[in-house]
Amino acid sequence: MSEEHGHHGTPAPLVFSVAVALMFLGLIMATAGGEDKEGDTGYWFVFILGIAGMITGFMMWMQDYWDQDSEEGVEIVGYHPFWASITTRKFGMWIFLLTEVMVFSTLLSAYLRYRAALPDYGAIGVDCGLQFEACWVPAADIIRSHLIFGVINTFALLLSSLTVVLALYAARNNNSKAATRYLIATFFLGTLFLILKAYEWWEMKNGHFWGDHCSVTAGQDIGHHCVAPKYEHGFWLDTSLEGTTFYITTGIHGAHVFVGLLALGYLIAKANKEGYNEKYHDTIELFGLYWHYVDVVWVFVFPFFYLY
Amino acid sequence: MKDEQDTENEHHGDHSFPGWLHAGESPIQGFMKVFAWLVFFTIVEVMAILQEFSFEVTMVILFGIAAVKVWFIGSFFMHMIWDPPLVNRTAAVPVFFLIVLFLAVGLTSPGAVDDLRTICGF
Amino acid sequence: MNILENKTLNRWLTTTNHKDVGLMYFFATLLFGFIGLLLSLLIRIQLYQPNNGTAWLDWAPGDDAGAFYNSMVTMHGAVMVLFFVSPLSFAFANYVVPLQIGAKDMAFPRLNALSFWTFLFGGLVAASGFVFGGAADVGWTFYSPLTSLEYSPGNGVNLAGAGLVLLIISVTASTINFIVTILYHRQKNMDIWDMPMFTWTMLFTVILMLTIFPILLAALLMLVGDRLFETVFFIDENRGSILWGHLFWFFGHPEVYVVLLPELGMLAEIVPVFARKPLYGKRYIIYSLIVGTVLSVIVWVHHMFITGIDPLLREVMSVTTELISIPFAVIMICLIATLYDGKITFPTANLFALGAIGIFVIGGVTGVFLSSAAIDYHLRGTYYLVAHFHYTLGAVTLGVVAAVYYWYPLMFGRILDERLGKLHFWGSFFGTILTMTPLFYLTDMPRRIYVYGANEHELVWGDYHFWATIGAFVVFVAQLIFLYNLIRSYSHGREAGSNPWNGSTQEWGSE
Repeated sequence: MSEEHGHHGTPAPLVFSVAVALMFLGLIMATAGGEDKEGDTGYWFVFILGIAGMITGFMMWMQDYWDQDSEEGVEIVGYHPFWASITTRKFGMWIFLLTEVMVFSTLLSAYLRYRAALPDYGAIGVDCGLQFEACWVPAADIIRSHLIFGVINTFALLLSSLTVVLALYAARNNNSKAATRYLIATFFLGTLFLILKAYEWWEMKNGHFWGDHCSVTAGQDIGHHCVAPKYEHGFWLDTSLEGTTFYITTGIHGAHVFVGLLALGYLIAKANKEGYNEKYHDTIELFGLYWHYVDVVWVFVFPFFYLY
Repeated sequence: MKDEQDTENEHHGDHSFPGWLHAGESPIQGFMKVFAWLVFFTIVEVMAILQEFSFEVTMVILFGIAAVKVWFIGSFFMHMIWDPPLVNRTAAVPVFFLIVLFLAVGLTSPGAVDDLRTICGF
Repeated sequence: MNILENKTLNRWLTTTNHKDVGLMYFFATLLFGFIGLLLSLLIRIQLYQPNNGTAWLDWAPGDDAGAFYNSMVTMHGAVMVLFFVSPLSFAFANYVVPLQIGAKDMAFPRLNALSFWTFLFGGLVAASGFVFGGAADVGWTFYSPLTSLEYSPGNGVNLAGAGLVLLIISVTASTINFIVTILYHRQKNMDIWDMPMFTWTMLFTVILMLTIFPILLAALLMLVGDRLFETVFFIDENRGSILWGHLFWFFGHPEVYVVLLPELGMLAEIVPVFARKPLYGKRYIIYSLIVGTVLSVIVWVHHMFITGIDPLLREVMSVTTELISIPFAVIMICLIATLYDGKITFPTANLFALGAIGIFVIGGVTGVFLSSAAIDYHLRGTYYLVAHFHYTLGAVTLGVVAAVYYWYPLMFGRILDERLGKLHFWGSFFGTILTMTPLFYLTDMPRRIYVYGANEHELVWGDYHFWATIGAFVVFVAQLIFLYNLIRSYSHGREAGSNPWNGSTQEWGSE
């Protein structure tokens, strides 16, 4: 009876799930496994295998779409006008975005909680301790002198949002060439974002954003280009809560950008072979929603972590 | 539900794009304007930070502007103002949970400097 | 109708059909359910008398019998809640919901297959700790700082965390799928208020899951960051533990309702059919579900009354916790009122449904006491609490088993044997009561110890635990009967026809 339905079986979900499980197992055993809890580097092989499997699963999944002129779910199949006013896939994408909203709001509220618990170092009558360990020295103050990277990144993401919208518009006008170009531009902007971020992280990790001449003794105000003693050796994940919240939140955001880039690869290839036209451009729109959402997250992450 | 009948004729078959486009008008210009506004607001944000305002003013500026930027992105880039009401209502669902999270988890650190009590004054 | 025939392995591994996925969910959850049941039996054996030796635990991996006991408790909780009851509801949801609303299939069939496979491998990865040197032994709540590398150096927590991340992928996929299916693919003449109750409750369940599982995901990312990448989210033992408590219970409390709501839907399907009356007060049940869903996300602090939280939060959440009993009491009363003046028959499915209502009422009423912060101070962390939530979750399990008896004919074309079924019911029903009622009296025994009996007073606890262990064995034997019944009735059961119960919802009589 199931054969009557339009959907043929596919091993893609199975492959993808096995691969994700393998990736996790590999990651865990490689970083923390083994008797000595030191990790067993041989398991990186399993990790790589898992990653390869995930990409294979993704490609198997997408393969069905590749040769189609149409995209699944373009026709509105629901019978109920209010609900069926947008396509199923678009509604599904919105629901997915809701879950993403909850992920980031959890991270941000954890940040807020820790941040609110400690006084800022500049406050009057606050004893921050010798290392400033009793005060919150925000990542923003460390980045302040090199804020330009964050600003460029903001512009890059905003601009990439624009190019996605323009790609969608071009696809609607049957202009595959323009759509491809806009998507490629988006890809480059996303890559630029990740590269700048990696550079910024690297510099902060190694403490290059502040000079040696600028050490601060207890009780002094931290000038904008100086840094609290607790960051003398750099500012990284394990340095303090400031570092942890900063890197994990921006890191997970960066991971979203990275996933977006993978999806963009598919979109570019498909647009290049003129797969999107007046009628079928749903996938670009869905990707656009995701990409704009990543932008929206950045709009909050930027003031939370880079400005204040 | 009432809405199910209300929207029957207007939105069926129209998924999300320009009913708003007037003939001959290029949407690119419209999106460019939106982008220009976003850039403008970002610059305002950064300038405001460099001015060293007081805590309250900074907060109002930063999160006011963030909200405006999100409105711009959501409304135009994500086409929410042209979409049927279903999208807006779906997008509004997590707001309640967000508020609970930020108030009850974010601002109730025991012994905190800034928690709900100090902010609200009780 | 005989769906298991003529299917190669290949067919099962690549299927995207909602019925096939539902069946696979069904078998996988039975597997996990028996794992959880065996673990609970081992726990009961360890506790059956004071000063019970731990020699029989010596074969356990690792050198610490206590740690192994803890990992059994942990995996029992995690497997039962996250990998058994809730997915078993999803097995039926996958199978029945599209039929009930007249949809051809789920909205995204491949996503549906993905959510099954990630669920399956999530469970296996979480349980694989038993192989890779010790499963998680920190309780299913993963309380910080117990989960820090310092206190839990083993790999179990990492693996359980990875398993949960896989489960969250699965849940996200299926929430999207179910919401879209229920809202879009109803047949033309079905208004949203005409939807059958099970579909209604699944809608609320997935909406709730949609908002809470991402919170667990974020919390797990922080935890995994702490354990694998040396971040310091939960290193500060005071602030970290309360942050974890907030995040976990923001997920964990609504999760209880995620488990409960589908079961209420099943009861609301089953009870009217066997009372031969329409469901009493369907609208009130739906309104109650709305209220309960919203309230369920603002009660979580009652799990943290004795931590150093803001007292304001304590007062607010104490009140909301008491309030949340109201919508669910309304639902229970509607179910009971459905029975009034009906021509009630008592096949096994209905016995289980009515048993579930009875047990749930006891569980709910004992919970009201715990909602008061003052009483909670004393009963927190004792066996009273254990008995309370096992009564509620036991009721949920009975309700889901009722659904197995109710929908088995739909899924396999034959009716489960009634005599074996009745034996199963009375064993499970009295077994549950016998296991959990004595524990209500242990209001002074801490829940997380594995050996007791150091003094005169503690020796008394042994009497209660003895009967509880007997009860656990009764339940276990009943489940063996159930298993036998499931297998035997597949080939020897009475032919069901298309509508054996004269049900009025659409899944009956459909192809």
